[in-house]
Amino acid sequence: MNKKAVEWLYQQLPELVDQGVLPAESAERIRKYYGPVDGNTGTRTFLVIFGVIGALLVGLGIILILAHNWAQLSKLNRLAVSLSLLVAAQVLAGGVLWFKRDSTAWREGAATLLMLMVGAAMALVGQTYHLVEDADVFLLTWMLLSLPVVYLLNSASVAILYTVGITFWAGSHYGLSKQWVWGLLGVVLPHYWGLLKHNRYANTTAISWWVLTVCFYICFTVAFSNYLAGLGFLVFSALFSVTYLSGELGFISPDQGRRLPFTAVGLAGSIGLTFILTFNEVWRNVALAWSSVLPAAWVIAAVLLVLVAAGTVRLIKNRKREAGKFAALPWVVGLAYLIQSYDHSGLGATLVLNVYMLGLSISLIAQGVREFHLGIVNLGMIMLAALIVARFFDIDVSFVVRGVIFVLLGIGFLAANVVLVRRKAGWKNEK
Amino acid sequence: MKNKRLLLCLFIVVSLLQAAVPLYMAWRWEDILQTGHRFYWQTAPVDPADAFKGRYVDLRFKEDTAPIIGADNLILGQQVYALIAENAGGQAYISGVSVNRPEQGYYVKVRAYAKGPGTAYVNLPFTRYYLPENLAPAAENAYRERAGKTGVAAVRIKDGYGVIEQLYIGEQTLYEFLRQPQ
Repeated sequence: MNKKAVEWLYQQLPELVDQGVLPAESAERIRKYYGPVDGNTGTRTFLVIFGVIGALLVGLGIILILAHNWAQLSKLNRLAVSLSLLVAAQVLAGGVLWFKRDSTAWREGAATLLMLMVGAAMALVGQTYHLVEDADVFLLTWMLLSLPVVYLLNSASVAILYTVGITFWAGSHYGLSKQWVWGLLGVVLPHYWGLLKHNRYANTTAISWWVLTVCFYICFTVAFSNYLAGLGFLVFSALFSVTYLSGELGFISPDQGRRLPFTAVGLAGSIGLTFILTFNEVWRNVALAWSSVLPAAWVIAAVLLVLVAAGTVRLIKNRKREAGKFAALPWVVGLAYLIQSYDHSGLGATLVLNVYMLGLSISLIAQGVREFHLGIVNLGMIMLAALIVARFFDIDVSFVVRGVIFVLLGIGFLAANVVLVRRKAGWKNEK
Repeated sequence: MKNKRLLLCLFIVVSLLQAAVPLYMAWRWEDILQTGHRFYWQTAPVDPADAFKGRYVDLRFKEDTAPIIGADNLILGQQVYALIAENAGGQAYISGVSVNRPEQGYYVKVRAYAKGPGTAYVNLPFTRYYLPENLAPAAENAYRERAGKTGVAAVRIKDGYGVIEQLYIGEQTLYEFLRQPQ
């Protein structure tokens, strides 16, 4: 039960008792059952956010002041300055660990400052000796030295900074050693998992997982982009489906997962990719020679497709069939690839994707009407409109194909309208 | 309580490690500065900025190609050893590039970014000289105005690593040059 609902219920209770709807004992029992509403979470969240932002500003300010390059300071003095800043931040963090471990604001603030000071100390030494370390060596050392702080001080802000740092590291890296990024992300995963397990509804958890999901997609793209030649669309459609399915399956009611990124990222990605793949131009550039696909790409695609299949089966078992239509995308893309291998013009594949997007938007509109959910109806309508507009401006497709697609669209639209009108009539009769 | 103690002990270990890294870095480079062999390099600088470390003069060295010594089995991007020598005028140059660590003489660990027939193009690792931010633009102007004349970098080299000790414009150090009335 979410907090806002409980608050609302508590506001209603006195009035219900006054009106004689509820006996006073029942109202008391309700209060006992749900327990006190913690009204201070808002203030606490603000304290944490301001603590972290304050620490970030102070830390970055110190780094900027050091970057002035004080010519007056001897080398020894510079070393002393950077080390004393680091030690001060360590003493503060140690003190928080010992005396204030229960205060989230203190923990996050001190941990953030410590992380920045570790970077500042290394940067100042580098500046003193005019070093040109590779940016990625500096970043990696800094991140690895900061990682224990995540667990020792249980700090979400340092975990977020670490995740972003590792993503930058992967982006500035070349060659096979990029794959280390999975290990580097893996070591911080227990922290994220713990957030999800113990603190599912906290703002911190939602923000952390948003950052992790976005960074994961960037790392995935960076790490595998060289191997996906030819299978990229299939792999990414499967990845979006896996993300979407984990959002749908991980939570008992949709409200619980609403603030977490899985469903949103999975949906946005799936719909966006579907729309891109309805353009014939895209498929004509997928000149797929099966022999040129690397084994690595097959393995990645196979693993993701197995996950999609398993997720879809569970979805059907959980009676959430409505959600299955988005998870169908990888199979549709796979079918389009198969057609593409026989028909290199890309027309077949384009047609398959257009039919899928048309079906998807119509089925969304129908679902929205069935569930009286205006948001879903609008989503379906927007997708349908986008599809129609895009096809109208596809100059490259021959008139015949355009004509056929438009006719199909028109028939689909009319059919949807007929169905909706009939259903509406049905509701009225029931009323 | 026991748990808390353990956490604090772990934290102290991590803290020591965090402090050891910059200390070790400082010790290593200071040692090269004190005991390395001094070379003079011809340079051609420009002036950008690093978000973390402030402004620096970006040094480009005129000599960045050298013959490949030994077998021509050099892979691009691979770490190789650049042998450093002095010509008759006392200027440093790269006398050769080798895949294996040289037995004698001075050398720097570098990466080969391109190669021609029998020669390799390498990036020397000491291409920055950090300056106080108010001096950096003046330094850049000084180099621009004296386009015909290039600066010289004094570099200390030891065990495959190099540290810039000083920048010269003509006979003066960069600081002396910037302090005199322009």
